Amino acid sequence: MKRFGKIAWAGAGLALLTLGACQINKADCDLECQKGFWLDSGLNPDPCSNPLDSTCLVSHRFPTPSDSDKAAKHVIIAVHGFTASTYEWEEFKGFAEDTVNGHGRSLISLVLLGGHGTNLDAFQSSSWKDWGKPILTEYDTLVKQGYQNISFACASTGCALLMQYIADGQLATGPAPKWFFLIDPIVVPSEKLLSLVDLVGPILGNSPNPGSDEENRHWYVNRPQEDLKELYTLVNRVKNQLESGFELPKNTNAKVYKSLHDQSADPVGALLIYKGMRKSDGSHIEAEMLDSRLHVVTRLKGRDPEPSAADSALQLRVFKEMIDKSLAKP
Amino acid sequence: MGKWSSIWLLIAGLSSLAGAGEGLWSVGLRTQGFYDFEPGNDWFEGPEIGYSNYNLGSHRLQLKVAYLTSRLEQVFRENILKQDYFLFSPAWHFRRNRFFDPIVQVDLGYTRFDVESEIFKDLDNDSWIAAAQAGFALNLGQGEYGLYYHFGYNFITPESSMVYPGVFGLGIWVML
Repeated sequence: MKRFGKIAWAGAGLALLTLGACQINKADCDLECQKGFWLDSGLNPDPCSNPLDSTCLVSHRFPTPSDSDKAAKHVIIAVHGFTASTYEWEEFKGFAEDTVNGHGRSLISLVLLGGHGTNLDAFQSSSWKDWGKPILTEYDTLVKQGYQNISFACASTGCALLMQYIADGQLATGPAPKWFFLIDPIVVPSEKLLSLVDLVGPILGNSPNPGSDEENRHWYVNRPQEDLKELYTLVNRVKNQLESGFELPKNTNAKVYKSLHDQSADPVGALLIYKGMRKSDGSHIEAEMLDSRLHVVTRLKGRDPEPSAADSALQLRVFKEMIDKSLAKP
Repeated sequence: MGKWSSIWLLIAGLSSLAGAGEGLWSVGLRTQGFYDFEPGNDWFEGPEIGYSNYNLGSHRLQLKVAYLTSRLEQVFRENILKQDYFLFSPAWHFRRNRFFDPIVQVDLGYTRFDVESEIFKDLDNDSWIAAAQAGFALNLGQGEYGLYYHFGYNFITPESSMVYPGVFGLGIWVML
């Protein structure tokens, strides 16, 4: 009888744990989400998720550049971060394609990562390899179309994807990219519990991360454990590649911009990149630590609270430097 | 330097409290890693000195100090960070005189890494350490030498650090 009692208590405990885990695992989509105010709902997808959209990718906007444009136009492929959408680079596009700032020579190609910007099911079922495919597709297409000056700008996880491609030599097929601009690249997560995602992921399940109303429309609020696992696999892979060391393609340069106080990407990642990703002649790339508390300071739109004047000035300076560097002759 | 001096003074003070009579000293090699279920763990290695006394729970309480570093690995893999740990690790042995000896241990200490370039001079490059671990020791040769394994949890994992929560350690020792 005593033994039966113990078994009964253990069974009840297990049932409660399972019930609790199921509750936590359930994706969070409240009334506001269901009405389509959240990206997760699938009712308000990123416009760049439409394959017929002709405003996002340069390869769609200008598929047949003239011979003079092939050499004169400088394309920067902009890659957003984990759970984000092309919204993250809209401000930069607006700045760079302005005829004054971009000198009429800059074109920004907004790439939407695989599984992103559509609905939560698509996100949950995608792997980090799926996330990166559209980057390679756009780069290969631009190369085939004859563009000769291609650079990359990336934010957070977008940078991890790009570094993984550089290390694997997957961006060395055409003319070497001119510049890689890495904004708050994630190599080591600030939240170290992510390293135990395989262990605690099934217990924690979904980890919602709501932001401002504007951010909820352009970032997935829910972060299913499957995607957190993919994220950690990717960043750990890149960290190992950096520790082993790899080189940029010949004549390619890179600059890391890293916030000193960042709740998503550990600033120490900038040091690992500086040490591990070298130019083809073995020299160091450029790096700058930014006195900011924002993750990805190049995106200020939709933040709550409003960014400071110092953040705006910093954003403008980084934008200008990226354009100047990408347009400069080698 | 101030922090390091404080740590060593604390360790020296606690060791003095244990008294000097009937002491057992050991010296060994300790390694430590982080478990993250992914290949490519960061490893730290270094010397460890242990001390126990009959007055400290009949030798069940052992006081250990260790210096662990990635500098050895850094010789072969130059891109890893040069990171150091200074640890004071009191351990409780449940079966000190037996072959299989379950242990619990806390790690208190300090870690820091070299920033290596003026560009990164503003990085927070140090952190206090507080961890709890459990494991076992295997006492060989009537306790003259042995090895141990323990794993546990780091409670302090700042945003800017290379300190992860899941930690484990392996070590060997010989009695002096």
